[in-house]
Amino acid sequence: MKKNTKWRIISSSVRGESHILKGIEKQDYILWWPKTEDNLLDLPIILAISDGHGDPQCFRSKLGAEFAVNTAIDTIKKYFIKDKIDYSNLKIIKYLFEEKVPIEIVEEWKNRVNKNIENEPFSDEELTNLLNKKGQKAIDLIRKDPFIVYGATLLSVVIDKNFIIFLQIGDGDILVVTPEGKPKKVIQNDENLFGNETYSLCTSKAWLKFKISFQIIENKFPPLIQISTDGYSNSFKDEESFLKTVIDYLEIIGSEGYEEEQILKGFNKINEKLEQWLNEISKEGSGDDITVAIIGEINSLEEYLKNKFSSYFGMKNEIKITDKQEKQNKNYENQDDEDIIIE
Amino acid sequence: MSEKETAIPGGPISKRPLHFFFILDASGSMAENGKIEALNNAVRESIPQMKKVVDENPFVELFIRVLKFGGNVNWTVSQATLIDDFKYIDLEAEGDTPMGKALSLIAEQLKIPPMASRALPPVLILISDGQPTDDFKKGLEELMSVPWGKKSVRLAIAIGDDADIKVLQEFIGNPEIKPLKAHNPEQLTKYVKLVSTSAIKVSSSPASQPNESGEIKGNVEIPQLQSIKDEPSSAEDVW
Repeated sequence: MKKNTKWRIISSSVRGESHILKGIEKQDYILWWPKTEDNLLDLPIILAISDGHGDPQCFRSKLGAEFAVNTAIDTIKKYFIKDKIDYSNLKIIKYLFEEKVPIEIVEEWKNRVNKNIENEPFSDEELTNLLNKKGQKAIDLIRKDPFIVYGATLLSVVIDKNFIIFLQIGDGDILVVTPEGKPKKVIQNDENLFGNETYSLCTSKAWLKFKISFQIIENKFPPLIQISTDGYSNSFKDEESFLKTVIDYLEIIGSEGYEEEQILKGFNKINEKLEQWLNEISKEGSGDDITVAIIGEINSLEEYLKNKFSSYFGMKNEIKITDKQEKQNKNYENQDDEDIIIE
Repeated sequence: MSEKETAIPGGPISKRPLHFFFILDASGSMAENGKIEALNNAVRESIPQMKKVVDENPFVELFIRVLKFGGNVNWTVSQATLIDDFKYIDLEAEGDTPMGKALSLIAEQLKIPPMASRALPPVLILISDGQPTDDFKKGLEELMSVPWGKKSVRLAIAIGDDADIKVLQEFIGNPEIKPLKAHNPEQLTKYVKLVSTSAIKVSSSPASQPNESGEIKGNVEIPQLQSIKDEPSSAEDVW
């Protein structure tokens, strides 16, 4: 039987070093629902991040990213609150997210863009700037298709008792740690996109470019989920170096021990440093904005870390993390072996 | 007791690599009228300018390689070499013009691996004074069959009136960008500097661009080159 779950999210979103040098604002945006003061969340959870393209013709992509994140959360949230979908019927949920949600997100994002243009038409300054940087062709293009001006990616994770859904359009990375402790990229990069190209909410029929991964949760959640914009992965020497990030975060979370209090301490350790790390990574790496969110479920982490410690040390009485745990271990020794979790 | 500093999560961090290939004609005809010397000089002089462009973008590492085709096809700088460590080796003119084979060899280098998918679009600069003597189409097809080949920034310079403009145009693959025609050493130096620095600037632009079609396409436009017209012939023209 599943215990009640409690989730911890930490995140940071930093302005890229190259953007600082060029005086360009941060184009990344992140938000999750529900919001709590201690960032300990009950299910369901919706988290979204977006990266505005930043190309000169996407001169309002910062707003586009903000619209993308808010639209995703509002669109998905209504199924939990207003429409009261039967979330135990996984077939319906899968259909909903594969067939309906992407269309609704794209249409609502476009509505919000249209409203913004209506309230604040492109200024002479914005157009002159674009003309100087990219020529008349770019002006003609945005007149024909103004959504390009707001172009942004979208990555989202939706977590409930029985499932996790990952949605992605455009670049960026969603990683999980498998129960075996390996990093896994949930959604693979588009083979056709290289260099700085990306799919986008502004692409025509953008809902067709969404990639969805639907994962049924039978017993336990993945120990850790990591979502990031492409400035993060582009800063590492290779894929392997990037995949290592989620494993290292898990190590830090487990460095204090495997009980709830210690796990939360581990999260806090990351939380204190994350912004500084991301600034350094942007400076030494891609120079791009970087946004990272790390999400973990405390029970699953407890179980994973306990198993890991047990198998690492080989014998239960060698687990020496804290005094409290030593006491706990002694208690275990007085119990039947069946109560001790050893892989 | 001071707490041990936690290392930054993940493996080694690095700037994004930009691979730059000079593909240079060193066939027998390049020995005429000082063409090969002018080409050697032009490439050599363009290096400091390229370095300057890279210095302006501290988030890019520029790696250079040089492939020559003349008689046979050889890498004169075969390893991807950081611009700071790059030393140009003078070419000598000899033999026919196996341009197709040169493109096939470039295609091999643009596969993933050895290329990384996180790299910036590679830059290919083709400079020639003549016509291919082998199967150019086959080489170009091989280049275009590799995703990074298709996505590369490709520019070309014709040396003199005997250069095959049609094949250079096919290599560029974009009717809006024409091969530049150099008729004297000064022009050649000017154009080599121009194409190499423009291509680096465009390739290393960090901004993402929406892909409308989902097709693999060259994602780079070079406004600086679209406005260049052939310069009128002058008394200094030797080719």
